[in-house]
Amino acid sequence: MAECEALSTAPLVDRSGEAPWAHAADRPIAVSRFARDALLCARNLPDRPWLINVCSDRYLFGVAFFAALLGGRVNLLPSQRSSEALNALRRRYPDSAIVADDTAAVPAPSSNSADPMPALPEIDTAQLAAIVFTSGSTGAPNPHPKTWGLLSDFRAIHWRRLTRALEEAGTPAGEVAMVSTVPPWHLYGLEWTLLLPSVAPVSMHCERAFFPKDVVDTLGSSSAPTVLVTTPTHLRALLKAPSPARPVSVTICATAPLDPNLAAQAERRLGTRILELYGCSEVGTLASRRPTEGTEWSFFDYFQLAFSEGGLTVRAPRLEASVDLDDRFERLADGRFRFLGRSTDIVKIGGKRESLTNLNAVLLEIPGVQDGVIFQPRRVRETSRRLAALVVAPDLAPLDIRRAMANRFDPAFVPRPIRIVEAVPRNRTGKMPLGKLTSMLDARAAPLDD
Amino acid sequence: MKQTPEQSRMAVLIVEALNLEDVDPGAIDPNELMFGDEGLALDSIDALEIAVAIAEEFAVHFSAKEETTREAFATLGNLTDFVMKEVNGRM
Repeated sequence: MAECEALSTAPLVDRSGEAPWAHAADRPIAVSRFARDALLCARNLPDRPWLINVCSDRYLFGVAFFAALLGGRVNLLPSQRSSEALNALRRRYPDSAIVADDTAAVPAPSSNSADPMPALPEIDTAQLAAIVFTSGSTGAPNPHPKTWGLLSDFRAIHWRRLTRALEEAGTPAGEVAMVSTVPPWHLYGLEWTLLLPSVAPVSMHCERAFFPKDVVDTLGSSSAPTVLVTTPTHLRALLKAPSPARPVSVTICATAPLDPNLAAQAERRLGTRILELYGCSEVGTLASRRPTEGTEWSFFDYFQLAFSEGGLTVRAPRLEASVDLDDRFERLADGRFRFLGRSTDIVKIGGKRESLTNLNAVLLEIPGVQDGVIFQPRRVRETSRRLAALVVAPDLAPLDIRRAMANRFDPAFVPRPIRIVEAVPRNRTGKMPLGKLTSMLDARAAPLDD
Repeated sequence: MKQTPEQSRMAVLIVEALNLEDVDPGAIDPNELMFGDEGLALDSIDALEIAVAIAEEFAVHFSAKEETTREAFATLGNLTDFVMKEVNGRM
């Protein structure tokens, strides 16, 4: 991607106006219409440098996102959208305004004739396009700034990877329709669903695809070959739903390790080929693999990587600083990489990372908690990798602790079950062996449990 | 508030589907909010898992496109009413 380094601007949209950008209510929305809506929205944006984009409609989220770029504003994308979380973000960015569906919605054109494609400016690659937030250990979410240059490079890299996957799936070249269970305000969804239609023959289905029936119906309704963007949790849920009316060309999966058995079952059920991604909020998608063909990861050439005992350091042309990750990899002879594990206490759930040390520190701060430990049990639940907790808190109920944790952390990190115990098992050195914690968790029927 | 027999059955389904070992199904207030910081403090993944369990048990399927779905998931009482209405509508 050396050629990108020299460019100081990148087009906002690089597609022909009549191509489909999105599908809403089963009707295509042309690229020209999207461009017109983004330009109109840009004129209506609040006069603030920071825009908290909380549009819930997928199409309008995109309109507001691109409008902010046109207007030289920064999209603030919180992972939590509770009023408490939004108020905290507004206090942190006093010169910010909230942009919701009603701000982004612009009147439909009066005539039915196709909109001419308006001229869209190129955007400075150094412009800060978005700050994606993930839950923070000290209570305040962690900001991950993304420049337009980085996002623009990502859309080119991702489209190349997706093109290869589509070719391998035998999909004829041409338009593909994307259905996503992942919201566009999470980095994974932003990279793979929001940005691709701006440079590639990809159109996005904007109907909510959350419950299995929604996903299956939407996939079946598309006349173009489909790409599903999803997570292991959703894939597992889809196994229990009817098959879509038509096979899915490619399924992209990220946020948590995908069990190879689940991958194989999902490929059969959906008639698809799965492309699994590895990445982090600090950078974005870093690597991909075919989970039914092997466990080795191929990193994108775009990144300069340094591997060590302690983890992985990532550099890239558009990244201001290098990023250190706790994931350890082994380099194989063929240039691919085997994941070895994490070198610290970082847990990854639902695509988000959190430190167990921080979680435990917050647990012990809860009034009424005398001692306790949050940990990832040895045996994990079939559907998710929830944390568990053993807590010494004679006057509290597990629900009190769950609520107190939910106030401070992303719900993904709120432990469950939370077991009230008389004492936490420690060995002579004061350490808490994972095996003992897990067996204590499994030992039911202690009268203090409820 | 006391649970109806249908609400008790739904409460057991929720507790089992979500592995809420520390929650007594009989203690879930039918009118208490289940999601967010309140009540059971459930999240969207829990909603997905509850939906899958309900589809298996009652063959009732949820759609996020329907306005009624959000309301249905608010409380144990709403969820039970929604599912029972769908089930009875088939008879």
